[in-house]
Amino acid sequence: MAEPQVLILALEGSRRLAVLADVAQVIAAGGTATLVVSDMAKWRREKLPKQLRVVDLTKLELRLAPLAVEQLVLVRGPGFLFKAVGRGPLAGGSKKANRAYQRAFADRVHRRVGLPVYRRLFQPLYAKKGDPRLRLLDRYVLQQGRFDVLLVADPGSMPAAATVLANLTARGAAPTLCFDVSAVLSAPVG
Amino acid sequence: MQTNIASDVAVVTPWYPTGQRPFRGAFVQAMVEATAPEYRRVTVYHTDEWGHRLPAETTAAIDEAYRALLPHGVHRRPTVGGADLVHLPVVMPVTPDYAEISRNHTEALRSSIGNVPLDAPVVHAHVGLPGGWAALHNARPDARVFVTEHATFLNLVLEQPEARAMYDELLHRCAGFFAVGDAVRKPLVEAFPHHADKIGFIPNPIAFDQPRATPVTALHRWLFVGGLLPRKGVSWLLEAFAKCRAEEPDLSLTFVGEGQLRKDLTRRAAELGVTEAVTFAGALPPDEALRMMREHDLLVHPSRFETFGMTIVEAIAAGTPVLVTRCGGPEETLAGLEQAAGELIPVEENAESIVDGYRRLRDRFPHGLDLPRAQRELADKYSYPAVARSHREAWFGGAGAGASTTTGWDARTDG
Repeated sequence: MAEPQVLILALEGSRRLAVLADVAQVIAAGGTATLVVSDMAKWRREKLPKQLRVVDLTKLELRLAPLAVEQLVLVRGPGFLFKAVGRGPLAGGSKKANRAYQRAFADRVHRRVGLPVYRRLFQPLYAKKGDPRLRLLDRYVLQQGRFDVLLVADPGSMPAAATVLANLTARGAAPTLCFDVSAVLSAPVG
Repeated sequence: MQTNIASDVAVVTPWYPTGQRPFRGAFVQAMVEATAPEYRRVTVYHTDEWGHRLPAETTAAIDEAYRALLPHGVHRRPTVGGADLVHLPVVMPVTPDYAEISRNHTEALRSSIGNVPLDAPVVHAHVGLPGGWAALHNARPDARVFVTEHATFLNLVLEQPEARAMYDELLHRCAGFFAVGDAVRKPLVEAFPHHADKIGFIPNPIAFDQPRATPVTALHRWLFVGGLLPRKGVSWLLEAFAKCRAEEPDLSLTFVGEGQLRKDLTRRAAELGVTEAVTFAGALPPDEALRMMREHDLLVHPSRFETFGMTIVEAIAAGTPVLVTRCGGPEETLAGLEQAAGELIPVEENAESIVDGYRRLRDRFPHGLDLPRAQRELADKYSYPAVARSHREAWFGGAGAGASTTTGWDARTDG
């Protein structure tokens, strides 16, 4: 398969070494790899190649209306104010102050208040139509590109893989499903 | 020898090198590389366990999706020796229950091949539970199933009543059963004395065709290859090295491998003042590890228990003397060659036995050794052609050739 476009689902993040080996193979074959994760913290220690596109479902989830409003109030609005105030000689100090605000206040409020409220009140509503993160993945990633190969990299990605495969197949864009990329990058046998 | 036997062979194994575990089952890969060129078609079915610890409410959804996806996600691709490889994940919650593990491997294999029997008259499995069980229950009715046991955790398997009963059945129904050494055969014979005659030996193959460029002239560059684990005796090795280096400042030590003791060993090397003489090379691919053997002067292998001791034979094949514990497999592998290949030492919880062993070896090196003789004799038993011959005799002639297997294909619920 020449220059394969590979979508890698590694939501559990439990087989990171295998994923890195697969990504290296895809890049070596001249292809592109898009890695979908649900907790970027698990990948913090891994050296991800710069050619790899990483999609963090937790970040993607921030595009849902309740979290988007929360982010507007908590992050983007104050960010705009810091930028407006920090002109000229105040620019450096303003940037530092914004970063400190994000770390000390915005991130904490998001983790301790915003996310729990979303999970309790809104997520059950969204979940009635299936995992909302996968709908976002479909809208912002799958519909924007072509994927020849769907690689399922860990047990926790199985349900998501079934949904993604069904979505792509329904659009007439069924990828080749595999559990390690060398199985499809190698010349087919027999 | 290329005999081109017009027959198909299926190999079923839970262990085979992957991106996640590049070294696990390297000996199975070596067995395939040694045997496959002689046959029309060899297919390796790697039932790769993907254990998870996810919540029970998630497990049902994972299981349902996995069952739906598995038949569509497995592909045949080339591997060593002209064989094909079918890699299939066995997704299941982590469990110590070997009976349950075996049933899951059996089902995964069956599902991945489309609920039809393995299309080969000979099926060779690695690891009794789960590999042998999965092979037995997926072989076609006229197939003969052979099993090679390598596991170091047999005691854990045999202390579980259901797993023990399954093992007994496996031994009863398979056409031939092999252990890679007496350390594996002995507990099996003790547990199943009624099958003692059926449990033979078959070694792991070793490459003898890449010796070092120049012979070792001094035992200065020590090498350890294996996991940095308590069972491997690496802490005692570091202590012993520091003592020996105090007498011989030219000594160096390289650890090839990874494991839970890496940090402790690094810290201890600093405390002992030998940091500059100790290298942690990390885990290396098999070819790189073999190159390291050719570039060092002495393989030190102070393991507490080994079923075979493949690394030791690999070192001798590379022309490197060995200092190794009598920990099960090695003394059997080196029987009659102890003095020619290096020095064997007892398994003791101290550094002194390693230090004493090194001094004895150093004092009689090089004239007290005969590595070429050790290489010749080990190659007769463990080289690729020798191991290929052993398998051929088992599968198509000689011992076990006439024996039959009672496969489980008709008893579908057995799996």
